[in-house]
Amino acid sequence: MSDFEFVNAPTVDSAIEALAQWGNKACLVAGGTNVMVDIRAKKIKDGTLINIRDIESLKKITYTDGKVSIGALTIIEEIAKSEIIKQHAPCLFAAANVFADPTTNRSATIGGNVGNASASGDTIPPLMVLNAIVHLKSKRGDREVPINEFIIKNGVTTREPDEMITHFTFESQPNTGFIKLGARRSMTISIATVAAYIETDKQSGIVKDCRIALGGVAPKPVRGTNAEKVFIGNKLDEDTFTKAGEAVQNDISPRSPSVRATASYRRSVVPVLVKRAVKLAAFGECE
Amino acid sequence: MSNKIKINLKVNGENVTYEVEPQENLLRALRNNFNWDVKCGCEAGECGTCSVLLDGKEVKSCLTLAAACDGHEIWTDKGLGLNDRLTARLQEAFVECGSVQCGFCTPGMIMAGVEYLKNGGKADRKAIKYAISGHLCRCTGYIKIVDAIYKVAEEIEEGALA
Repeated sequence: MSDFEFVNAPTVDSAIEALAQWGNKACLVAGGTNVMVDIRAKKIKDGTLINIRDIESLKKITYTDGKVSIGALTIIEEIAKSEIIKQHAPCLFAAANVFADPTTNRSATIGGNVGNASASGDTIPPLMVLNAIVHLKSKRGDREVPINEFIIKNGVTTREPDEMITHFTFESQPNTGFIKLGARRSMTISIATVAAYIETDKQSGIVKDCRIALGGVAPKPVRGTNAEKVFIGNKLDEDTFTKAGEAVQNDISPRSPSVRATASYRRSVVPVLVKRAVKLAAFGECE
Repeated sequence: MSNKIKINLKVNGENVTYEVEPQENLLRALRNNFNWDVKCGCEAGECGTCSVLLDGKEVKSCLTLAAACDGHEIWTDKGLGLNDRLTARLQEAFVECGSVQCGFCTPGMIMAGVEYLKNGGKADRKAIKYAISGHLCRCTGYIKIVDAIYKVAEEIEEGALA
């Protein structure tokens, strides 16, 4: 006996129709890499499972007029192989290439990773430094929310129960980087991740603009606003990295005790990761 | 009250109808219908032994909603080994290289190897290691599994498996 229902939604229209009908009881299932684990662990005990896996129109990566669009149902494997993403969003490309493992990445979608809103969701910090827009759709209409305002806390977003994420858009930003620290190379939940966007003056080497986002080191992915302030107006030298490493301590709030690493360990490694992510963003390499 | 639903799918080349619960995963649906070559390990996406080809792509069946597979095509390790030359050769190579000890991870490892080789994977140990990295093996230390996939990749490159 089960308290679940199943609805197949092969199109966006049928999916938002089902969401409108089932409201709070609805649970979207795309790849299933989060939902199926939660059902097995009895974290999800009932509800209407709406299958959106086959909506082909939401699986496209496009680039037009300096803008990148990624469908919410694009699997991580596609992002990890995409020339468009490699060229226009290296931070997201890097995140997709260290995401889970190749087998899981053939099911897992970017929309699922953002919608699940884990504090250590690997695609979220890259989208934050890219200033991505989350596009939501419901029977009531379309809505756009900046990713930096989308996640409220671990597992909670501003998505209404009748809305679904359709796609993400952002401007081309080749000068971005991403680094992940996990206990292993594959199939590991991040201990800490850092994504960075850096714009420097070519002649003086002084940082004109900077965005830093961190995952796994606070109750939700956070922007490193204090560290950003240190970088802007300064050169990328050891002194700046040291000061940024001190400033970023005020941006993060790692929990202790935690399952994957202690708070003090996370505080110790974050400055190193910030330095590497910024170097990746500015120079394409970090050593 | 039972709210089981009927799904039509193609498993190992055969059209079948399964009755599944709305929240049932593909792994249980397959095993409940006698596809016992698909192993149930962690059932949480960690170990990879339940991997199958869904529409030609290697996925973890425990993470896949069975009802969502209505109208889709699935191949398991056993079915593919009986119908596909490359898979049969890879299975032989696992025996030749001593890649099977307890054997529990083997069906998943074969599927990962098939996915790698079918997509033009080369005889490259690092790339093979990454390809099987969603799969756990507690016996072999992985070396012999990599050996087997490497061996078949070499054979493909030499044209021996055209």
